[in-house]
Amino acid sequence: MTYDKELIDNHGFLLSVIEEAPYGLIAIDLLGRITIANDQSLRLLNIEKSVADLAGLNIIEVIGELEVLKIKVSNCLNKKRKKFDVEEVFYNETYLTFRGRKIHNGMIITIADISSIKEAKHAALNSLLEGQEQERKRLAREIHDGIGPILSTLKMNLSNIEGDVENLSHELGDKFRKSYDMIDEAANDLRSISHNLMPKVLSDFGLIEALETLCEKIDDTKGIEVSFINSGLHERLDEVTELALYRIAQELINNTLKYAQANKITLQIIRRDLNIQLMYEDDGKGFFPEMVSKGIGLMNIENRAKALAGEVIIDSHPERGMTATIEIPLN
Amino acid sequence: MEQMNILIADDHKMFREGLAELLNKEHNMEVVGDVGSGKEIRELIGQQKVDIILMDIDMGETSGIEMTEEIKREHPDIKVLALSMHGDKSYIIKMLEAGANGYILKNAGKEEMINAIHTAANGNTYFSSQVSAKLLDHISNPLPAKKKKTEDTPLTDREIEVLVLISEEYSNPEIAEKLFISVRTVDTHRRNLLDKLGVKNTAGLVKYAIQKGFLDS
Repeated sequence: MTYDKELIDNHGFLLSVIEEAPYGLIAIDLLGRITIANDQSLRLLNIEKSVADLAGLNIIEVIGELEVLKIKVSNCLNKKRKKFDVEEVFYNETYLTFRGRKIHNGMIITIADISSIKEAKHAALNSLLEGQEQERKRLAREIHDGIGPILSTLKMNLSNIEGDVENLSHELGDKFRKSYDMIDEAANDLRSISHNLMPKVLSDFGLIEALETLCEKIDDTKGIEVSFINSGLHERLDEVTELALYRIAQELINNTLKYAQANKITLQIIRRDLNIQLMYEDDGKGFFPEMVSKGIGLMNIENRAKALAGEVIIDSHPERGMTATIEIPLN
Repeated sequence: MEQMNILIADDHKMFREGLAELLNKEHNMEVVGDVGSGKEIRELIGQQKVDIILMDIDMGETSGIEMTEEIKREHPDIKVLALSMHGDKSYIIKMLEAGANGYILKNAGKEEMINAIHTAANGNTYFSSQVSAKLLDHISNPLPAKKKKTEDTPLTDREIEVLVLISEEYSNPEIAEKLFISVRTVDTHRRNLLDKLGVKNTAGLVKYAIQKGFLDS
């Protein structure tokens, strides 16, 4: 009697643990049928059913839109994998992390809403980016205003004694020539460093000219065809938006050059009434967007867009290239 | 040859002095002033006959591009040779549009500098040897940058693919499946097509596709 009572009490206790846990929790049997689920899991997965309705349904039907999760769960049920972890999936306006573990007669899946952690990460990265840009700006300015003119002046001064060098011995004359040429090398290096730090053409002439210059440079030097199309942007945008879109384009191009083995890149800027869109396509080897853990490059892109209340959509398929769409609202 | 009166405008004094020394050694050149701002340029050309100005495109406060425009407007006889640290196309084009008679990089050697001044003084246009053939091509056939809004913005290959499929009455999900992209991306392409072609709806898209012969094959 006491034994039974204890069991019943424990049962209630366990149920309330499952119900009140700050995670979504779903247990399934070996055929994938749901045996237990809590309200949290329904809310996080945006399922408009009650817990009772869910019992007995196949998990695969319930998580239909979450392709990655479907694959991972099936792998565990059919292929004897013992566990899976799917991190930071953006679904239903929240970032979710899923963990699955095999248990005695099935599997248990937890769902955690990590949006607030993600937000804190974004904020941290943002201030990092901002500090970085400030520092880049300062360095570029210092090079442009300080070392650059010194080198030009040095060259000019050497030009002034060029005529006298003819009176020097052959050996000294040779040394003079070499030094003279090295100034050019230094000036060229400096120019490209300064440009990479903060392209002056961006602040002087705006996004379109800067992107044109960027695309032409890549097209000329990297053995990949890059075309740039501007549809309707004829005015300057504010400095922050211009810089963000420029850096996003740079980041996307870098990603393509590093990983995609693409032959062609198309970059477009499309001005609409209320927003500005950057559309980027390559014809490279592609990937499953959900499967790719977001590297620092993609994180940077998201951050820059988010800082401007913008949106990033990465679309890709293995062997079918990739398309990135970034939309930034204009006030 | 007649003597040339040269004005050097650059915001770095040491550079100006070095350049002045260099040019004064040439028997038909005389540097009549070296200044570092727009205000000083105006003052000097008010007092003194100047034939040619060597103009830094970026003098801190003063924009060499705007200054060139002003001089060409008010003193069309004065030749302006742009001096720059940048070989970027945008700067060269802007300077030429402002009316400059040539463009030379600051680290050009003596020979080139003198050659450039002579060329500009004779009323011809001089380009630094580092200005690429590609740019010269662009300058002699000014194309996309000057395009007016009314002309078509070019479509990408992918947009043409989408346009053709729309015209063949495929739905967004069908197009997505065919092209291995998401429905959302198809939708973005569709919106962009409407935007770029300046048409209001699918009928407009189809009409355009027919006109351009995209549906012929």
